[in-house]
Amino acid sequence: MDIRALLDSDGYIILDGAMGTELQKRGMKPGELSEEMNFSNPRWVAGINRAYAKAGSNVVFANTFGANRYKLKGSDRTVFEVVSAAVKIAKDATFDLDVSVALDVGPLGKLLEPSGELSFEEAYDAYAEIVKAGQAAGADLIVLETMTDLYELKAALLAAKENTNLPVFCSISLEKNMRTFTGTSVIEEILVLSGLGADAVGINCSLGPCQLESAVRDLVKYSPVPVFLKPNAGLPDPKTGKYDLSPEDFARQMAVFADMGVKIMGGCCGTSPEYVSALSDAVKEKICPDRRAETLQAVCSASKTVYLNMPRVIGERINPTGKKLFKEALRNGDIDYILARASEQVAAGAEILDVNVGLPEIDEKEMMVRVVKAVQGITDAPLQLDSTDPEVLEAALRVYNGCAIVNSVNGKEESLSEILPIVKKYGAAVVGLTLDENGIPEKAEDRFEIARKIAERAEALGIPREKVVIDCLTLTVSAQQAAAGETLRALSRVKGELGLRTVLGVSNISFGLPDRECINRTFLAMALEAGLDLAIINPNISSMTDTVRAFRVLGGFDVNAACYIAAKAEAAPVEKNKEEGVSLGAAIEGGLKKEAVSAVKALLESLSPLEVIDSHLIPVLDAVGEKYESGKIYLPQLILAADTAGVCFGAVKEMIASSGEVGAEKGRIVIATVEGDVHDIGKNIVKVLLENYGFSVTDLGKDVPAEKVLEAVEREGAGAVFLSALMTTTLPAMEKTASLLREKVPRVKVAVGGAVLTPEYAKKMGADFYGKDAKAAVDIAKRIFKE
Amino acid sequence: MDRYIDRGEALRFMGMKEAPEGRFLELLAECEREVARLAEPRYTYKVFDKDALSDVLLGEDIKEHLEGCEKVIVFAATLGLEIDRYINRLQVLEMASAVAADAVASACIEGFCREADAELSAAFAPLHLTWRFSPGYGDFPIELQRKLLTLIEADKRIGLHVTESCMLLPVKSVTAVIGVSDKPVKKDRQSCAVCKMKDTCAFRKEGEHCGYKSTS
Repeated sequence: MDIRALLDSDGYIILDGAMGTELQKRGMKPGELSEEMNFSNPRWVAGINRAYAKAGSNVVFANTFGANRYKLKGSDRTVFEVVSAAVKIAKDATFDLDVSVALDVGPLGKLLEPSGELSFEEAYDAYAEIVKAGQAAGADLIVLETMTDLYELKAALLAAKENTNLPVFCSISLEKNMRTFTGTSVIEEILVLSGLGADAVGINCSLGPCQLESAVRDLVKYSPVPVFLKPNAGLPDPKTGKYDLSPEDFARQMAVFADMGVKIMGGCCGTSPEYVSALSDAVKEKICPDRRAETLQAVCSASKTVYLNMPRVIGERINPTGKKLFKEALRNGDIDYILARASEQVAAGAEILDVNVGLPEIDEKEMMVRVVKAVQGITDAPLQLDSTDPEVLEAALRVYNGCAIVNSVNGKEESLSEILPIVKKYGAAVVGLTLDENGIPEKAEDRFEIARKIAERAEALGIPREKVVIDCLTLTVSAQQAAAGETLRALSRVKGELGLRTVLGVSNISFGLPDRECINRTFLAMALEAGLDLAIINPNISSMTDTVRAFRVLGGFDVNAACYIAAKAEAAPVEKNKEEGVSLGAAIEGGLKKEAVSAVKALLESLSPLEVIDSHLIPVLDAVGEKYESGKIYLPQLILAADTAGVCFGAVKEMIASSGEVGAEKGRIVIATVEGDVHDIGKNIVKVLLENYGFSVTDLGKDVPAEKVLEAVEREGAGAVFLSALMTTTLPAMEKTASLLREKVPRVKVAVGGAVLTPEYAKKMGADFYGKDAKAAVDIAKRIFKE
Repeated sequence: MDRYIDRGEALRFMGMKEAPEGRFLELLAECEREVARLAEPRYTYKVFDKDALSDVLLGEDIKEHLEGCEKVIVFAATLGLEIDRYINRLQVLEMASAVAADAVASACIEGFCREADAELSAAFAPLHLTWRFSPGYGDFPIELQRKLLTLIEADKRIGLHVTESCMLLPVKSVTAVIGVSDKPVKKDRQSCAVCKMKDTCAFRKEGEHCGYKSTS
């Protein structure tokens, strides 16, 4: 029977069992590629396929699990050859039986960005190659399995959906904590993959069936698509590798899950045709219960789900509007500045982060992709992707590793027809602004009608109501005093009558009034009482975040006030540390940021920003540096002093930005960790110190090819290049970069450093300087730019 | 998890000879709490006949290390990706904390491996185990990381990967080869003479040795 017909039937779909274990039984040696057996021992493979079909499998998996361009690197076969051969073997072996053949697709064996070296786009290309070959070879469906990284699984699913018309089953492998190695649970799996159009989602490999019960319960409770389960034959003995469940025990436990509504079942490591036969017998007479899944009202990152079941804080600070330093960071491509804004908001209580990087003079799409990738690498808060350009939104949704909120669609026909299809394709939630071709309606009733229209249009496209969040728009109360009431009335009706979630950007309310914070927090409290779910605020202002926290206590959401108490306990020690009247020098050396900033602000009252830098901050740093040289303090303490000075420089820079005064540049340095090196803490330490000594640093990041370094040196007109390498295996890449710079821009000075480097080797590769540590790097920079 | 973290060892990794005070001590303690909270330490291993691994056990030093052993354990351990993310997050907020967290995490994986050593010793008794010899020690090529990980399916079992340039990911991870012998083996860690870092090692410059203590 066709696989889609099976999915629609009330029976179960039986998959097969292990391939690798069976091949080893027949003589495959450890370390050998299973896929090679399609050529060296095709009879083994055919025998296994046929044995599973005979044992009762409705679907047998072709021997293609590792058939990808990375795992086949050492072999002389192409992906196309392996996939074609394996699918043909499975089809021929089962030609007389009513079974489907699945293209079996496993992980690429490489870790994706940001932790790893493979980009999302490269992963997509690798999977596109596999699935195209699978469709061409005549596979009936695609199974993406044993995935531990949701990001990789998303790349694979997009590739399958965009390059074939086959059904796609997706499954992840869980550890004892019911999460993958990268932190994904079945909840994030359901939200992200069913949103992207997976035909079934579930779990394979992992553990034995009994250990997976809680995750299976979540799957059958929440998955809107059929549920897939292909676990191991219990747990292995670490010394012998033998699994502990017999075929009968395995089948007995799987039958329990079948009754719960798991429709698609098979076995993974340690299972054999006997297990499949027992499983098939156990469910043969059963009818798969009609499962009514609850809709998850939530958004998520790869490892964290935020339920929209109580008021939540969306951090608004990743947005250049009205922020000079943020605009400067965007122009300079200073991603670290943006990451710091992300981290501090999460620390202050933001549960979702709005990301807006729109600035006329930059490539918004390119920057949005960079920022989304970087932010999801350091925080697990789900993101709200904020742009007026549909192309930017689509690019962001594509690379986002989670279920995002799109900000925003509105009631204009153009917006509805452009934005909603993108929201649907990527399974996102969406903010609907209650405005249309005629602008923002004055009356609550008219805003309500626009909200209704947006929800209806979304539903018509298959976007569930649970994913539509309405913004009834905050107007400035000093200009239109009645508007606050209209906003709240509209909000209350949208929530109550349409049953939709609501969102508001709060701070607009107080423009033009004194003590804006007072107006903002009062309006926020009123909006919460009117039914506000998502408050877009500056979470760094504690009275705002606290208002939401307090409302959650008073509204009965925060049970026993546990979250409120925890947040207050965390905030307390900061107060305790406050010391009055600490000198700038003592504050910087001691790493006391608040005190250091107060001291700098006091100095700025009588001195110009440049005077503060040259006659106060730099001398303090020099004094700390001398203490380090003489062994009175250690490198980590020097770095702490530099961190603290950095906060002071930030305060001075803000002053410069608002006064328009331009500082004298001490020298421009390009800094990078060489190609192949993906660990760059050493380089980042050097960067922090250099910046705080007043040098302008262009940071190219890690794993940077020689050509990129050259390009940046020429573009920035840099006087020096600082290179870092951590591994003996990447020293050749450093050498290559140094000699390319020697050849093309002989004027530029090259300094090198890193754990495995020696002064001799540095000299040999033609570097001008060798730095043994971060402080040495500062001294080198001072020497280079002393004129 | 905090039982794996030895503060003295973390300080030594940072080149600090005395315990810090004030704000640095506070942030160090915070890093210890967070590393203990976020670490997901896991290890895996498989046992092989030494002869079956002749194309992996390359170089003189590993041969000497495994003298008299018929079986070898290929071992891998990791603290997991959350620790990497944590250290990356700190790098944009406060570099000094990132440096401290990096050292604390190194101490943590080392402490975890010592506990794994003890568990393995107990599991294999009355046989004797050598100390852990990792790729990159002496003339044991670091390029073998990939082969070792493939042999024990470390990506599937503990989520441990290796880059093209042979760097382990997650970063706070260890791979090693351990010899199994029916006769007592020399338990002491060998001198720095076998180490490739001996000319540049920061500990040696200070007249010390790195964090590895002899297990005898």
